Amino acid sequence: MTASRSRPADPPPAAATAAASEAPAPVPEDLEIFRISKSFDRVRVLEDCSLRVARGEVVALLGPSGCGKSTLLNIVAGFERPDGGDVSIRGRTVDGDPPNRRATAMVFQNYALFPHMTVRANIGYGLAARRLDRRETAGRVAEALALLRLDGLEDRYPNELSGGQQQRVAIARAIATRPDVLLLDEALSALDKTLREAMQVELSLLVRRLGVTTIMVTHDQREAFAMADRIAIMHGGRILQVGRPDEIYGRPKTAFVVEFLGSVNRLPGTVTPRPGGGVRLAGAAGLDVALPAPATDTGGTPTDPSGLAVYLRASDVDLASAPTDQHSAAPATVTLVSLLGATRRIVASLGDHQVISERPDTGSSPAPGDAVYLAFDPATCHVVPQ
Amino acid sequence: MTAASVDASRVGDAGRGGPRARPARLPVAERAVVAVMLLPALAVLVPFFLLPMAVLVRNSVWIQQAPGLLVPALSLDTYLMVLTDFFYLEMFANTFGVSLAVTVLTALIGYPFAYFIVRRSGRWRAVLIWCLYLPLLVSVIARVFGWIVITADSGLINATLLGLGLVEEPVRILYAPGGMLLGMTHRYLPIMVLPIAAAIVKSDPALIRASRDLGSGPVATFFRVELPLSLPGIIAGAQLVFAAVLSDFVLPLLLGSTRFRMLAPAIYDEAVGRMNWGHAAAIACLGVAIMAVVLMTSNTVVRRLAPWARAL
Repeated sequence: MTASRSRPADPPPAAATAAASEAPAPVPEDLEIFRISKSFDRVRVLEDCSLRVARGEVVALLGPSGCGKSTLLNIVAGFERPDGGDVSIRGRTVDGDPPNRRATAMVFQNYALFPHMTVRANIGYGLAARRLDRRETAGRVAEALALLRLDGLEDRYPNELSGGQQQRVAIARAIATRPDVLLLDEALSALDKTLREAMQVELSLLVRRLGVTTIMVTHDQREAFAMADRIAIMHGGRILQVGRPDEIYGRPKTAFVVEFLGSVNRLPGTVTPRPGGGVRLAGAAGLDVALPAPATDTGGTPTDPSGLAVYLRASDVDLASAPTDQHSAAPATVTLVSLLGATRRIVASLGDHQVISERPDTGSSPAPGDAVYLAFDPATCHVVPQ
Repeated sequence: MTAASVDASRVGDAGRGGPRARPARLPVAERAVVAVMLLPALAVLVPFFLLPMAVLVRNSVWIQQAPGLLVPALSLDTYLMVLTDFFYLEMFANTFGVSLAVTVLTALIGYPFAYFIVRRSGRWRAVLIWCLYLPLLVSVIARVFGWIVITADSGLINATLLGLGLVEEPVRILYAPGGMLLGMTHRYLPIMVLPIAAAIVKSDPALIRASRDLGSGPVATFFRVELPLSLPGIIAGAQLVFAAVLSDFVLPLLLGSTRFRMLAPAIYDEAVGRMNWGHAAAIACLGVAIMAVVLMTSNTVVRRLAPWARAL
């Protein structure tokens, strides 16, 4: 495979939304999705989706089922036609091209291996379609077999393989065509957890070694964070936020992004502007905290703070047995304690609200009924439009 | 004729192509249950199928001394007589040829039809499937009269040809092999279409996407993915149609020609017309043998061409 294809030296362009797309990209783009819209039977499934993917970059489309991520992938592959917008691959618009004329290769959710062909014929299928000569085909098939450690299985039929082996054949079949863009459609979701995590590592290393531009669709947050250079969070047919995993996790821009990324608490109370910038949350049980200004696209504070919500990740909540000097501390009562492997989850009631804390297990923990004090660093709060 | 019943028990194998793994030995109580469940089938099959078959085989090796008089013996004379007589050999050749022709015709017409029903028809699917089933609900005799009206010298086809000035005098279709082929193709089309449609339904539409994604156009995708995957269905349909045509009695009688002899009417002639039970039995046994050879050959072909089909 083309190992010579270099990985971009600079970090890929941040949030490549329609607004940001005017800035010149630092690296050549392999894929540009520009203002794609799509409806099925008058139901809007994609609305104004834009994304630029640099050469060699791995981008995950992450969102709950029905968010439109698979439809977007199918539009890139050419299986669906968008109602509006363009897809360009290596600077060339491919809107009119059928799937067989696009330099994309997809790994399907259930592999879609040809049951009537051996492993060798499956992997060579895309090469035969390109009318490569026999020696070139054999060479590339052997290369793909070696890359995915499938040697010795060439003459098996798909139904004689394990799920993990079928998965490898599906990946080998896609990369053997040396696509400009590799598309992974929930490619690992049919595997069991242990195998899936091993494949995440293997596939991440493989696509980086080959330097192939990759778009992966997943509903699994861990998978997206484990594999992707950048993540595009999708919801309701829109791309809500695009960024590196640390950006997405550290500075979520909307309530949906915060909630989708895992165990969070929405702090109850009213948000008011604070003189000198930032906002103030006046909440239940004497909770009263000064918070930094919310992250917005423009950088300024929204004029109407009542449309803001304050979130706090469970991992940032400390439930201490004695009041701390942090001014964000508030008294609470423990209602539930459970061990989740390496972390312990403690649920406490703060007035009418339940607050969840998930911290590394220290061996000692409060019991239900104990009085504790809710403590957190205001800097860890996420203030987002709701 | 009994070829059709032989076929019915075999056709299921065609798709899988091979013997299934032997199940583990069941406990005594469960084996008793299995035996009880088999009883009704055995009660029908033994007296009404196996016993008559045995009588047939016996008659074919006894010696026919005079019309209606079989003498107990163990002789292959009847077979020798049948197999060395051009009169009978021609009849076998006719029957085999017609069976093959109708099988090919129904496959050529049935495959695109099945494909259309499954892949393209959308909301017309139910209507089309009804069109396929409807003729099966009408008596074959009624359908034969329909074909007579259409194919007769003064029928629809000839009236049209004469009216357009394409022919000078009526073309002989009815009471000739052509009319019989037409009627048989119509009669047996459903049993070709249904197994093919079942095979097409079973194949995953994602495979078509995968093929297109890997660079094959729609035509290459059809010939490299869709057609090979429906091969077991085509073979199953072909086996059903071949057996049905081989043993067809009504259509050769009502649409065919007495000069173009076919198997089932020939057996009837020998047995009822000439009281030559030995010849009738030998011809019937040879018919079963032909069918068995055809089935075994086609099963071998499937195993060769589609070793993957075993687990589908």
